[in-house]
Amino acid sequence: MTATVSRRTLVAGAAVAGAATALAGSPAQASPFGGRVPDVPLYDLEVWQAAQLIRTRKLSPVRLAEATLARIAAVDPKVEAFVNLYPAAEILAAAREAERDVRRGHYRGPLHGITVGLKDIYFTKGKVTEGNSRLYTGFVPDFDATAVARLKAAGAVILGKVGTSELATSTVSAANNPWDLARTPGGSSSGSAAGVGASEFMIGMGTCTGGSIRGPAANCGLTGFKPTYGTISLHGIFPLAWSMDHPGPLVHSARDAALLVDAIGGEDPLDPLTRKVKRYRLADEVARNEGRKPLRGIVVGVPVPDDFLSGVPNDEEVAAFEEAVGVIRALGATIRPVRSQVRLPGLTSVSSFYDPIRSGEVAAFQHRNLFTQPQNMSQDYRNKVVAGLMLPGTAYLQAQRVRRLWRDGFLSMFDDIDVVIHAADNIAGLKAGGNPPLPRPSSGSKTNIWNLSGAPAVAIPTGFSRAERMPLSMQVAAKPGDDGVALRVADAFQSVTAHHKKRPPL
Amino acid sequence: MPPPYTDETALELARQLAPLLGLSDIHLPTAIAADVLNGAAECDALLAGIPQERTPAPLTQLVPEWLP
Repeated sequence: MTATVSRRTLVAGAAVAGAATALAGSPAQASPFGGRVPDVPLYDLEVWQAAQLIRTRKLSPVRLAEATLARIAAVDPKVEAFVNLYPAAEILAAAREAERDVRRGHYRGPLHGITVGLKDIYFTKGKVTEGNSRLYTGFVPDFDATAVARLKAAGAVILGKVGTSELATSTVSAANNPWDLARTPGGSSSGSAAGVGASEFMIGMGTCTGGSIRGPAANCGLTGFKPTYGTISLHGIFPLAWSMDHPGPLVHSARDAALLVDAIGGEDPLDPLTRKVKRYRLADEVARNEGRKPLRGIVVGVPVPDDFLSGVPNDEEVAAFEEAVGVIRALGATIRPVRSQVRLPGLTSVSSFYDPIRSGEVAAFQHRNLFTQPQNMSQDYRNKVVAGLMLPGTAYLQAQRVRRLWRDGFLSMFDDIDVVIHAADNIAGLKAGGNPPLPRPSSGSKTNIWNLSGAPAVAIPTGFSRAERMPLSMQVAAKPGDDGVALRVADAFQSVTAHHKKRPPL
Repeated sequence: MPPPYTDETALELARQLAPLLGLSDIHLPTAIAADVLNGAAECDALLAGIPQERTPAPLTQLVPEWLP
């Protein structure tokens, strides 16, 4: 089944039609986003749009699940996002339960009935969780990750597990980029990006230690959000490096990202690293965007030409970014040139402390497996574990000391601005290699700096490469805790542009 | 500061440390990211350039102190 299943067709046949408003969700639980829902195939809707229809009983979660399963059957053989698609009967049973709840007036909020794919490092009770690693072949957790438990409690319909690089770092997954099947979706949240990009589910849960949400989102024309460190619980997720791991969503829009964090973020007694915030209300903050100048009063930093954040090798990324700056200015924001303190004198790059920290933390988690089952690690993964094992404890602490020094300088950028925006480096690469040469080298990773600082950063599409017909992207980042401001800027941009609405012609 | 590690010298170091770390042939890496070792050395050198009493404590509070 392809794009022939339109919302209009399904709404007309929806079993739950009628008496729509009487049993709609309580205002406290409802998404604050309203507006016209486009007439597109159901699986192409954004979360906030589908939520609006489900809450008002104009869309049945069962019909949405059926349309989605048909979509998966049609495109996943090409995209290969899933590593473990749950049985259709199970998915439909979850959707029926969601539908019953709506009918009985138990609307659970904006994720009610929404389809989700989980990166296969999220623990799922009674379901195989392998992390693309032979270490965990056949591993069946006896509990759900907190994020998964909260998704279920919010009424989301979980479709299955999707591809990841080996434990979020090494051997790549089989997933293909839906915009060009010969290209990678990027890693490590590969299946999450490929699946949302191909409209196989509306939310792809990912994790990010150095760019594994924003990179794949950029490659696949998506919105990828890494919230402030500690916003979403890490409990029940295979760690890569605890001090830099961030769970987060890959979705189509900033609104969807806000709704997701509101539903599953918040303090978790099982994860001592979560922030002491009971529940987030990012969607309400984003919904404050009103009128023709919604960004009036917000100061947006744009890196000066010779700044690290401007060191982007792809000319089309730069051109799309410059256009985006004009859009954001027209939305009322005050644009201010900034110079970031990414480079620390004496260091080759931030990798000088990022790498020892990551290696030390990987080794701490996996050194026992290195001794007992080295044959179940890929050579690349084993090399990473050994590198961490070789570092003395003092080297790890020295790196964390430098990280603190660096962070304080880096975040001082936000003394004068509310958010900073900058272009992504590159478009998605060809799996077989052979990408055209770029006019200049990159200044370095523009994603891991936001993991090291714990600051929120969202990647959003800015256009399409004319040369390669692939998505372009930029990041909007803010000071830790200012997630809502970053999402507001992203949402305002998306309210007047259509890049995030494009879908690949699969 | 000692000369930076190359992939070869990093690998040689891994071989030398192997008995101390309890690594046998099957565990030994085929490559070690020399960058990890060089990064650690750079961090050391950077901190050594700061008067000891002014050197920072490690980042242990991952959620910044100004946030709940």
